[in-house]
Amino acid sequence: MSPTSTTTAGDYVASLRTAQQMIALDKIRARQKTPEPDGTLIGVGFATYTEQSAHGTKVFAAWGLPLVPGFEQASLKLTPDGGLEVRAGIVTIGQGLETTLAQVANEILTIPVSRIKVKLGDTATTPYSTGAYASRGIVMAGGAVSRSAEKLAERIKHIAAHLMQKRPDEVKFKDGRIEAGGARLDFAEVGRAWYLRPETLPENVDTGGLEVTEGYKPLVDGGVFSYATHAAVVTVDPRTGLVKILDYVVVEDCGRVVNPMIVEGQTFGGVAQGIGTALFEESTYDGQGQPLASTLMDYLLPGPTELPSIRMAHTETPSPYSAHGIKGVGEGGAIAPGATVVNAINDALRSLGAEVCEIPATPRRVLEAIAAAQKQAAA
Amino acid sequence: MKPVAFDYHKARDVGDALTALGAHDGDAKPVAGGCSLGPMLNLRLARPAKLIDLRAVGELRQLVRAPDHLMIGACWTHAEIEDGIVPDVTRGLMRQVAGGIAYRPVRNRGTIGGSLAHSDPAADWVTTMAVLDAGILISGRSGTRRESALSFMIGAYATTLQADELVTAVEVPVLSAGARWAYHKIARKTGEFALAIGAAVHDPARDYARVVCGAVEAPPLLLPRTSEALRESPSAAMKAAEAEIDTLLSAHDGIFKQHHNVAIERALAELGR
Repeated sequence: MSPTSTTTAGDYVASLRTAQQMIALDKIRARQKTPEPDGTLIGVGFATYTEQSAHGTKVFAAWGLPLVPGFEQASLKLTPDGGLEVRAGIVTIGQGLETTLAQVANEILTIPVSRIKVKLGDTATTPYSTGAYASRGIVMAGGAVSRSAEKLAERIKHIAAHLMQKRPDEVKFKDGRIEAGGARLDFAEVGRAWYLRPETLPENVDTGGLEVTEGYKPLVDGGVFSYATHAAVVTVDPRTGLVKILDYVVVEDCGRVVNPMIVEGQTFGGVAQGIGTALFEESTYDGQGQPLASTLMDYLLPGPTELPSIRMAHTETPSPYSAHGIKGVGEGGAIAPGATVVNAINDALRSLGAEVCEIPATPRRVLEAIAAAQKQAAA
Repeated sequence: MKPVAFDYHKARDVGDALTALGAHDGDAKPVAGGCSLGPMLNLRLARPAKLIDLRAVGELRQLVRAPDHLMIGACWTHAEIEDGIVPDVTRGLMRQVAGGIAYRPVRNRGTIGGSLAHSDPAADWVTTMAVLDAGILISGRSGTRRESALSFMIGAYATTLQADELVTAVEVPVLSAGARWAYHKIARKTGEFALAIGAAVHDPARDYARVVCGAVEAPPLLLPRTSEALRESPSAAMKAAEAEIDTLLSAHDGIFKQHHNVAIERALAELGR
């Protein structure tokens, strides 16, 4: 498939093929030819999706939403001891932005992540932000940190060049230090010059100093598109309607991966939530409108024993529209499990001519689908 | 949510607990593991004026072996039964059932007496005691009484227990060496209450055969014809079960009946292996 304007950058067919190989489709098809000894039915299902992430100004304005995000901002400050402060208005809700934003700053300035302090979502000290939603955090705030870091880098290089008696274009950052034609300098020395020894600064020093606030949004407002293929193998017990997930694979592409552990963590969590959607979670009401699932005794969530060990593969297709080619990944894992699991259930039920068309695929819905197919066959 | 305010009394012995229970005009509630009462307090579905804590009462932790039964004090936990700390006179049935109750943290606190007094129709001990024909020992201020597990429970969350009475123990029959049992539970996920339970015990040496269908939104359902057929063979019982369930659960829809049919069928198949 050639990339379209909205879903640019991705090989969706390759994603599906990889998932097909990982789940061993041919082996499942072979296994389906012989009945399972315990009377259950085996099925395999796939779903490929795109995840629109970090869509912004024009999209929200066109939707007529009361809140329209603009440029996301980040403030970076080189401190007198050569450390870095990153302040961003985005909030962290467990998605690891403290780590990944530090990594983005490190990518440009090479200051070690251990010397970078990240402060998020404090209206007293951080730039304004509309917050964390739409899988936008790393694209928007990451871009803002990147943009601010680049500007701060220029200022640091200008001061460092003067201190080292070199030209600014000779100055490079390497492994947390400043280098120019064999000479070396610590970031702390640049910090000391600005804050404590201003008499050593160049005449034409940028009076903004070692603190920069820059704003960022991607080249397009329509979002940068992550994508993935999920595949699952399930057993369906046609007598009880109970479904068990035997295997689950994810082939995901979120552009340039900032931190593989965080991408996998986000995806594992999303898949767990999605399996809840596929098989368990439902707000039910009786005929009088009384809610029937008002506590976690009635509103079922999957637990460790209901979740498979998820196997994951990554492809990396950078976005042409975002800083560093990053795409969002926060919500993706939860998108596909409903389709993946129900496709697998319906593959298992194919021999019975039955089809489940509603989630969660509860034992009752599975048995009703089988009964409906039997009734139709008898008619 | 939080419970409404209540008083707390730590009972010293059964007599003290009964006095405390009687003193509040039926407005006091005994508590042991608190696994069912705790959530009900927090949801304010239960609003007792006083909780009588039974956990320090030594009499409720007795184990008395008689030739034909074991008396198990009400405050033994599911975990202690699962782990074999409470001897299993049912040749493994009670240990298996205990290990399948909810999750380990619940089993660590929840007690057999508490579960029976609460009488959730989908709870495991309710059906297990019924299939074993266990006795429930009850103390009140006017004395003690023994009731069979089947007649003790009269409806969902309803028993013959009076507000000023306590379940003090269960009397579990000793199964003979040649006895066979099976217990099949259908549940949507680990730790959930059952959609359906099938339980069967066949003990020819004691001339005992019983098949019980559990989690029927009512007391466990004894299947007399199926039980009788089990004396002949598990497959004979299987033949009798479907029609009997169909009749006895006629108020329920096809899927409800199917789940219970399958639970019984699989229990009997296991018993026949």
